[in-house]
Amino acid sequence: MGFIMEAKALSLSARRMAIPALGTDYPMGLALSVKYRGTEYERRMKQYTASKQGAQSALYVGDDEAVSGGFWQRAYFSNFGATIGGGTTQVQANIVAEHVLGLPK
Amino acid sequence: MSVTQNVTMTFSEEQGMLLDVARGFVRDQAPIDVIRAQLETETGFDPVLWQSMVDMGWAGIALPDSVGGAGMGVGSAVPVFESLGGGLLGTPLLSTTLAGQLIWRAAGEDAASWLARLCSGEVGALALLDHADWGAVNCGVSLGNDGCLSGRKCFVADAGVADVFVVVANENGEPILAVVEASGLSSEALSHNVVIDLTKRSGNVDFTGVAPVDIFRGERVVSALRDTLLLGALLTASETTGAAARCLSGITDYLKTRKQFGKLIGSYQALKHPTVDIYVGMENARSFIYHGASVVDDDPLSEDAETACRMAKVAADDVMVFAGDRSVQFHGGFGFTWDCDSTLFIRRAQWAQQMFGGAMHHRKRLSALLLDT
Repeated sequence: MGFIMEAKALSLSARRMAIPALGTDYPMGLALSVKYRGTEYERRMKQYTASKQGAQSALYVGDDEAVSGGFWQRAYFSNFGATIGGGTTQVQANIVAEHVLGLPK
Repeated sequence: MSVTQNVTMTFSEEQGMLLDVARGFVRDQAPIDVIRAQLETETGFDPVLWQSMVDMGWAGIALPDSVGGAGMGVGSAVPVFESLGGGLLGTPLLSTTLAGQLIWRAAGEDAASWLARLCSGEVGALALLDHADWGAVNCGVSLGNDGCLSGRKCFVADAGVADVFVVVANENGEPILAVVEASGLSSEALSHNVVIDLTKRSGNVDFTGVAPVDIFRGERVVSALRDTLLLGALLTASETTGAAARCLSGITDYLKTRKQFGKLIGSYQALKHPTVDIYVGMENARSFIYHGASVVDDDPLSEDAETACRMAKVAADDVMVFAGDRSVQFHGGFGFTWDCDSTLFIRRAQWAQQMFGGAMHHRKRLSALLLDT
């Protein structure tokens, strides 16, 4: 349920960005935190999905018995491209802290 | 079907004005020293402030104009409660709003005289819980053949200042709503709770031997009750989201000014990154409450509206519990003193996380709603 809520929150925040009256406190906040919110949600969701296959979680792409052809295992690994590339999650957190919340460098 | 389903998000110009007015009111009329002055008083609020809120039409904000309300729809209460939460301003507005919703949804125009009284500033209280379980049926108080109630209700918010109680009861096993006036209660009927959130008040009320002045029966009572619980969750979530945002700004202010080891503590990532998570959680909760405001109306709540109310409560509870906890910790030795507002936030978190069902309560019901097919 946590993941469904996170996915919904991401969609809702995209809608909310179109309503300036609901973004006066931290004007660039939703936009600057999109990567932080989205890529980490994806990583955890895929990790969780890959872990829900019992012993088949141990199989990978290429094994005929892998669930969905090992899609989720590969998706989880590939997702690090998103949480690292273009500024790691940790750098993204610094960006939000410094440019949205005004915390010192 | 997409797992995220309905993502409606509307915000009218009227709601925008309401948000500005409510925030301005809280900022100007209820700064933290005004809130602190009421923490240990019997009623917990200043009647002059309450009267100002009534004069602005907030007591009837969620009710139609045909019964004296503002006619803006129940979603318009969200920006008001978010603003009140942002100031930790605890008044009987939540109780009065929900008491109004319950009888409006159960009886419509038949309850017009009661609704008009609530709109004009009489305090309504919802006498709902038989014990600590928000998931129970809670119809333990019975109406007997003699026309009198028997049984007691727990955790009745604002019981000490209520003019009118709406008591969830049963008559021969069928759920009914019994309206009781405070003047009909004996002085021993009410015992005050010692509430963890010092801005809130509640009590246990024994209605035994009291004859209700009005009774609402019928099928609509059941759906009205269900909807009122969901709206209670949404409006509490709104209040909680406002409190979480205020808590966050308290944390960032401190992190920008407090120095340790020669550096501003806000420059340390051990404090910076959890603060970002509070921010993200707060924004998510804010998205959920305004989504909720967009999908609730006067009709029985749809499944999408139910989902929205429950998700709003989960998101708001989770971020508030985290924010209140981290606020105390990040303020260090000052954090657990009375002078630090963190104590007010952590107390609000503990209070809010149980009202109208906690996060686990709602997750369980969301799972049934969205995953069981």
